[in-house]
Amino acid sequence: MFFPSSLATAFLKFMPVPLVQAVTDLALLHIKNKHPSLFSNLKALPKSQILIELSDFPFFMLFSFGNKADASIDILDPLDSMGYTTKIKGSLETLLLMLEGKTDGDEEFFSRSIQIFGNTSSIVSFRNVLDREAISLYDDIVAPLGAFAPFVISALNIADSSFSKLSPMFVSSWNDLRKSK
Amino acid sequence: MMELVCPAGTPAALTAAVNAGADTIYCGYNNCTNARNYPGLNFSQKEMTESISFAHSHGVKVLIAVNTFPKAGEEKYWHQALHDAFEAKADAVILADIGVLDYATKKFPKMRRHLSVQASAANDFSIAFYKEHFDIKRVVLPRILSIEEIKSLIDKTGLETEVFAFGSVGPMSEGRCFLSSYITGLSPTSEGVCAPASHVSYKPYDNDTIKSCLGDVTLNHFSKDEAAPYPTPCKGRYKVNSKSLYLFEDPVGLNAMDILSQLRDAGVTALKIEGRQRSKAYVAQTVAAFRKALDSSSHKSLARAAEGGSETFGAYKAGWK
Repeated sequence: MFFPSSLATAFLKFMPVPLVQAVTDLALLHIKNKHPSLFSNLKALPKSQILIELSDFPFFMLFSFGNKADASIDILDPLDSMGYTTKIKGSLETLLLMLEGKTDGDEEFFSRSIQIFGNTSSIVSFRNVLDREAISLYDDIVAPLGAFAPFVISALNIADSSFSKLSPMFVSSWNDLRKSK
Repeated sequence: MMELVCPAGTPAALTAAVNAGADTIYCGYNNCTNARNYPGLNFSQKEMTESISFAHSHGVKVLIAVNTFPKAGEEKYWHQALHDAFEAKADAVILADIGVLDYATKKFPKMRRHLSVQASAANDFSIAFYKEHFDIKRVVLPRILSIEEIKSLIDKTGLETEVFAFGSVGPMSEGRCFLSSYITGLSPTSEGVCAPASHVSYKPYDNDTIKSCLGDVTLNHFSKDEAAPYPTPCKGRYKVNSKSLYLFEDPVGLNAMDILSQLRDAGVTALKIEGRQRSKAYVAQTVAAFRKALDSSSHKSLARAAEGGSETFGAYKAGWK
């Protein structure tokens, strides 16, 4: 099932950090409930901190897992100092496609759609553990809405399609607004 | 019709390969006994048994690669892998080491044996030896042979052959490459780890250029718009006579899709897609493309999936230089 990634990107882009953190925590909780084996496999890995730098998003994400601890994602301001073992840089849409197993990480790496910095051990382990799961953002996050899910996803898809056409204009206006402040 | 042999690094990738039209799948255990021993990858015995059962229910065969070379005193891992493969009802095991072949022949004479590309058997004398002593039913040929040479080998040995259709070009002497171990101290041939992730790092260089390193050794640096190869020593760019060049191997992927009819006419039994370390998305994409090419002779571009984003026929057209 299609996930409205353009809309999700735009939605997150304009939200304040605490709200993005709350949405991220909720999404992580839903995925955890749906894929307990993913999270137990992540616990078994060595301690890792992957900094996710989204090229189309004004914040960073710090994904921490391993060493028997629960996996977590912290939303960070790029100006904050942060420790990490590996950094991955790419668009939110590309990373969501990788999360769902719809695109190949190596292919995105060859084409430079994603870039990796630092030690690659943690990111290769995470990629391999993740690829064992059949993650569907629709099923994991939208489907729990029950009978309302089809209506919600239809509305989101229409909005996503419209927004993907209009987003350059929105982003340009938003950037202008930010610069003027 | 040539058999399509497809990779699976996880049960999810195996399912993707089955759904995309694989005839046969090859995979390995999550330890040093297979040549793709990377963290988070491969199968436990429980996963292997369940996956083989799933594949068989869809009419798909499963081969288990036990294709590394045991270190002295550590044979038990390879022996256990063979016992497990037999218990899991594998359709064949892919082996390289003479001692492992001998053990399998004596302990499990009815379990079909294929000779791994790691054995690097590239002439009829070598293949005849393995056939005579270990009753191998199929040989996976190294990627250094032209189509004419493959045909000649098939004519002389009368054995089933499996050749690489998509993946790496494959440098020099497969199963005998120690380049990575000189730098990392870990062996591709005994431990299944070529350029292990624990030793690979990427660092910013200058002007949007990224540097890839294996341990303390710089392998390459590539600009913002330049396709990136795998961080293995054979794909490193080195300075020779003041010129920076790919000394061992260009960062291009092998793709034999346009010469499938020639490989079939040469008598090739099976086509192998490389990539047990790749994702299920890659498996689904490449298997579906080759399934379609085999069934209808229509071709779908796989250039983006190929290493470095570009393709070659490798040695098939021009031989090995």
